[in-house]
Amino acid sequence: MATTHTHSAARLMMAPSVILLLLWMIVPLSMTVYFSFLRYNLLMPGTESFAGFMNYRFFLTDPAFFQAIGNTLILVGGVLFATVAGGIALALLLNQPMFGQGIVRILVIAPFFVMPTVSALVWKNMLMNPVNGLFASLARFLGFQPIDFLSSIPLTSISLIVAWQWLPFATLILLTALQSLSEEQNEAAEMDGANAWNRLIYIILPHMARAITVVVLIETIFLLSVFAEILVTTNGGPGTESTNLTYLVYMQALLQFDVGGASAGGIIAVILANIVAIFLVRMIGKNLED
Amino acid sequence: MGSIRLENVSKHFGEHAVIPSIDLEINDGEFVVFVGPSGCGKSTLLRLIAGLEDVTGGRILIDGDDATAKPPAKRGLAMVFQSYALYPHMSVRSNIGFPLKMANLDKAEIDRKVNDAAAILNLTDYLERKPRALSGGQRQRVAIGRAIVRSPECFLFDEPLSNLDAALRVNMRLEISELHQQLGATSIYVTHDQVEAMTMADKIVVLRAGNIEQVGSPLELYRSPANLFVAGFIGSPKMNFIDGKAAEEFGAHTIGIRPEHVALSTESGKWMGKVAVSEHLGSDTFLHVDVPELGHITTRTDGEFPVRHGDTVFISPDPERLYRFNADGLAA
Amino acid sequence: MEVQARSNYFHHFWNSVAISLGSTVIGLLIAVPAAWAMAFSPTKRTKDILLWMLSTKMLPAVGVLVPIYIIFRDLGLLDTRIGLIIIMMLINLPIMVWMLYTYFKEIPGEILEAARMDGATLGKELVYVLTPMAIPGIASTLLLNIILAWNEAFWTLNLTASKAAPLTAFIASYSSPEGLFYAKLSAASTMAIAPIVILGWFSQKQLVRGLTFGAVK
Ligand SMILES: Nc1ncnc2c1ncn2[C@@H]1O[C@H](COP(=O)(O)OP(=O)(O)O)[C@@H](O)[C@H]1O
Ligand SMILES: [Mg+2]
Repeated sequence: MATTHTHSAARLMMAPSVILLLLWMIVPLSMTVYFSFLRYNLLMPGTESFAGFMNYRFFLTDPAFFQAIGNTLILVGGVLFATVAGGIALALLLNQPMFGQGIVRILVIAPFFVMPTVSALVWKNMLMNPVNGLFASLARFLGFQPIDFLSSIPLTSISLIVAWQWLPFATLILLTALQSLSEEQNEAAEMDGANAWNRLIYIILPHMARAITVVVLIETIFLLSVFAEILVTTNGGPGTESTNLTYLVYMQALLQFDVGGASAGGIIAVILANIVAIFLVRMIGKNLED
Repeated sequence: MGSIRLENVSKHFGEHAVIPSIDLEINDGEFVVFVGPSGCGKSTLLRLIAGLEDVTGGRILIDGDDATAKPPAKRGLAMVFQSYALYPHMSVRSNIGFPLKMANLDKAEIDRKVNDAAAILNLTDYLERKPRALSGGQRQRVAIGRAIVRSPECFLFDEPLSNLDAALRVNMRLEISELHQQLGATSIYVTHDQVEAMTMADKIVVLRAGNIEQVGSPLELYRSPANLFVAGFIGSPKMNFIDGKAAEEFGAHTIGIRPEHVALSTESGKWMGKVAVSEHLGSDTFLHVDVPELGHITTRTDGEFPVRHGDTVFISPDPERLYRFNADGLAA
Repeated sequence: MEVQARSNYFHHFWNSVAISLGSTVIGLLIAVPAAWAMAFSPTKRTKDILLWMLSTKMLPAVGVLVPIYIIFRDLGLLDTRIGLIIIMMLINLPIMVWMLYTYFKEIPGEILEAARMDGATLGKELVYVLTPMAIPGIASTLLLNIILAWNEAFWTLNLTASKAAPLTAFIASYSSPEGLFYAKLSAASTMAIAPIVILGWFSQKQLVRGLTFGAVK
C-alpha cells in the first residue's frame, strides 16, 4: 500500500472536513464563552457591558437552574434505565426464532424513525390527553379516575415519551451484539450444565457488556439535549417542573433574549456533556485499535 | 527473460530493519520458494520485488535492467495474493480480463485470452459468476488466471494455499507445479510450509529474521543443511538435536539425527528408551521415545513396527547420516 | 381552507426534502475524500483526528445556540433553507466521516494492490475498482444521514419560523386542538414519518454502525 507521495494528497483531502469542524467548534464556542461574561440582551442592543461572573452567579443561584439540573439527570437516568432494561428484554425476545420475525422487528424499531415532534404530539393528544386520550379511556373502562399525565406528572410523562423513542435504538444495538454471540459458546455452557438463567448471567450479559456501555454513553449524549419533546408537550411546565438544562437555556436565549445568561447556561451544559464525552471517546478510541 | 537479481536490498519500517540486507540471484524459468517462519520477512521481500513497497536500500534487477524505481505494473510481474484479492463486484470473466483491459487490448483479444486461461484452469463453466459464488479452490484458480493472462515474465505467489483445506491444498500444489512446467515462467512462491517448499521448488531460499540462512535445491538443503536452523526447519518430522556428552562422542557440539535415519530394534542397539507415544499410519510408524541419556527422540520407520506405549526399544543412529554442528550452530 | 392547508403541508415537506437531501449530499462531498484519506493513507494522527471529530458531535447544541442564532441573524440566514442545510451538514459531518471510514477500512488493501499489479492507473483504479466497492458504504451513509436530518428537531425548531420550516417545525405548530385537529394531525404525521420509516427499515444495520461510530457492527 504505502509506497511514496500519497500523504500530501491525503492531507488535502482531509482539509475541508477538518477546517469546517474546527470552525464549527471554535468560533461559536468561543463566542459563547465571551457572551457568558457580558451583560447582553438582544432587546437592548448596544448596551453590552462586561459582567464578570454575574451570569454564572445568576444561574447558579437560580432555583430553576437546580431544578433543571435535577430534571436533566432524572430524565437521562430514567430513560437510560428503561431503555437498557427494556432493550435487553426485547433483544432476547427478538433473538428467538419465531413466526413473523421480520414484521415484529420493523414494528419494534419503527419509533426511532418517527420525528420527535410527531411522536410528542401523538403521545400528548392521542394517548395522554385526559379527556379523549387512549390512556384516559382505558382508565375509565377499568373504573379508575383518568389522570392528566402532562400536568400532574410532567417529567415522568416526558421520560416515557423519550424512552419510547430510544427503546428501539437500545434494542437494535443489543440485538446486534447478541447475534454475534456464537451459538457454540451457548451450547458449550449448556453442556457444562448452565441453565437459561445462568447462561444469561454468565455468558450473555457479559458478552453484551460493551454494547450496553455504548448504548448508555451515546444515549446520554443525546438525552442531555432533549428539546422538541418538551417544547411540544409541556413547554417546560407547569412552572419549571419539566424544564431541563437545554430547555432552560433556550428560554433564556430565545424567549427572554438574555444572551449573557443563556451563554453561561450553555457553557455549563457543555461541561456536563464533556464529562460523558471523555468516557465515550476513550472507549471508542480503544476500539479503534483492534 | 525472467531473471531477477537482488543486490544489497534492505527494507526498514521506521526503526525496524525487517530486511537488513539481501543478495539473491533468481534464474529464468526457476521455481523459487521463500520459506521461513511467520514474520521473518518473506512477504516483505516479495512485495519489494513486486514494487508494492519501496526498498530502503539496494537494487532490484529484472532481466538485467534496474527496476528498483519502476511501478509494479511496469515490471512484467504478476502476483497471486494470499486472500486472492479478487474484485468482488466483477464476474470471473472481468476479473481475469482486468489486466488486459488495463493494457487497452481490444475486446476480441481479451475474450480469447480469458477463454484460454479459463480452459487451462477449468473455469470455463464459471466465467459469468461473481467470486462470492465460487468455492475457495475456484477463487484461487481465478486469481491464478488473472495472473497468467498477462503472460508475465515472473509469477509471484504469497502463501496462495494457506486458506484452503488440506486435501485441496495438495491438489492445488500439483496444479501450480504443472502450470509452471507448462508455462515455463519464473515463479517466486512464498510459504511457511516446508512441505510445499520441498515438493514444489527448484530452489529454496530459507529466511530467518530478514536474513537468508541458506539457498539450495530441496535435496541439498535436506542433505547438507548449513546450520541448526535450516536443519530443524527442513524435514518432517523435525530433526532430533542432541547436545552434551552424547554429541561429544561424535566429535561435535550438537548432533542432529533425522527421525528416518535411525535403526529401531526391540532387542539391542545404541540407546535404550521407552515408547511414550506410537503413531501407526500403516505406511509408516512414528515413535516418540524417551531416552534417559538424550531426552525425547522421534523416529520414523517404514511400514509397521509393532510396539506400544511403555514398550522398550533400542535406537541406533545411522553414522553416515548424522549431522554435526559446532558451538555456533553451524554445520561442522 | 383545505387547499391552503394542503399547499402549506407540501411547502414544508419540500423544505424537509431540500434540507435533508441538500445537507447530506454536500456533507458527502466533503466527507468522502476525508474518510478516504484516513482509511487508505493513515498517519499517526489519523486516530486522533477521528476521535476529535467525534468529540465535536458531542458538543451540546445549546452550547452554541446563542452565537449561531446571532451569526444567522446578522448574515440573514435565519429561516432560510441554506442556513439549515449548513447546520445539518455540520452536525452530521462527524457521523458521515466515521461511517464512511469504517466502510472504506473494510475494502482490503490487497485488492488495491492487485489493481496496481494489473496495471491500473490511479484514475482507472478509482473508476473500475474503488468506486464500485465503495458505493454500498456511501449509499448507507447517505440513507442514515437523510434520516437524521429529516428528524432533527432542535435547530429546525430554533432557526426557522415558516418560510424554511421543515415538517418537524411545521408539525410542532399543531399544538392546540381545533377543528379536524386529530384528522389533520394523523394525516400530517403519517406523511411525515412514512418515507423515513421505510428508509429506516432498509438501513437498520447501518444505523447501528453509524450511531455507535463503528463501535458495534
Ligand atoms: N507495513 C508495515 N509496517 C511496519 N512493519 C511491517 C509492515 N509490514 C510488515 N512489517 C513487519 O515486518 C516483519 C515481516 O513481515 P512479513 O514480511 O509480512 O512476514 P512473513 O510474510 O514472513 O510472515 C513483521 O515483523 C511485520 O510486523
Ligand atoms: Mg506473509
